Amino acid sequence: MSRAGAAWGATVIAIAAYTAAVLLPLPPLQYLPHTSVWRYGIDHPGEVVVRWFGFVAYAFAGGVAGALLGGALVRRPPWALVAPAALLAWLALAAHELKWFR
Amino acid sequence: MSYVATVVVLVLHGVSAMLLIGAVTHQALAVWAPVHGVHEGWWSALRGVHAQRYATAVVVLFLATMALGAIDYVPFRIGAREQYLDVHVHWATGLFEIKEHTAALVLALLPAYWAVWRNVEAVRGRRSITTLLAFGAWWNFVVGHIVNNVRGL
Repeated sequence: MSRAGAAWGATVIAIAAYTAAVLLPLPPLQYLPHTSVWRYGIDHPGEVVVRWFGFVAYAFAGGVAGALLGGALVRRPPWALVAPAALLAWLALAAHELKWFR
Repeated sequence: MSYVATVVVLVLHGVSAMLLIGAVTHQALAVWAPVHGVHEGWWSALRGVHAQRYATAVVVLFLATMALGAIDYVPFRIGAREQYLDVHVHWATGLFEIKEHTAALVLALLPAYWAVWRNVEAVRGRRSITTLLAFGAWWNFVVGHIVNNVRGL
C-alpha cells in the first residue's frame, strides 16, 4: 500500500464527499440542538438542525474510502491536481451560499 | 455547557487560530520566496524559517482550532445565529456558512498536506496545498472576527 497514494485518495475523495453532501440531496445526518438528538435520513425544512457535523461525517467516510482506494493505486496521480480540486469545490460551495447575500 | 465555559473555549479557539495563522503564513512565504544564505532584515526573517518543521505544528493547530470551534458551534447555532443572524444579518450567516465549508475542505486537505511535506520532491504540491491552507486559515480567521463582532456568543 502506497502512503502517498492513500493520502492523495483520502484528500480528493473527502473533498468530493463533503461537496456532494452539501450540494446533492443525500440522506442527511443531523443534530437537533434543542433536544440533543442525532438522526439520519429525515429532513424537515424549517426545523432548526445542525447539518454541518453530518457533512463532515460524510467527508470523513469519504476520506477513509479514498485512503483505501488511493493506497491500492499502482501509480499516484499528481499532487498538482489536489489544489485545483479543492479550489473548485470551495467555489461551488461558496456559490451555493450566495442566497444569503441577496 | 455554561456561558463561562463557552467563552473560555471561544478565546482558546481564537488563540489557537492566531498561532495557526502565524505558522502557516511563515511556511507559505518560505515555499514561495525561500531565503538562501544569511540575510538581515524583517522580510528575510519572515521567510527564512525551516518550513518543514512547521508541518506538524500546522496540522496540530488546525485540528485543535477546528475541535474548539466545533465545541462552540452548537451554542453559536442556538444563540447568535438562530436568534439574531438568520433573522437580521443574512450576509453574516452566509459568510459563516462559507467559513464552515472552508474548515471542512482544509480538514480534507490535511492528508495531502502531510504527505507533500514528507516528500522533498513534491515542490509544486507543497506550494499549492500550503497556499490553500494559508488562504483557508486567513479566511476563517477574518470571517470569524467579523461574525463575532456582528453578534458573538
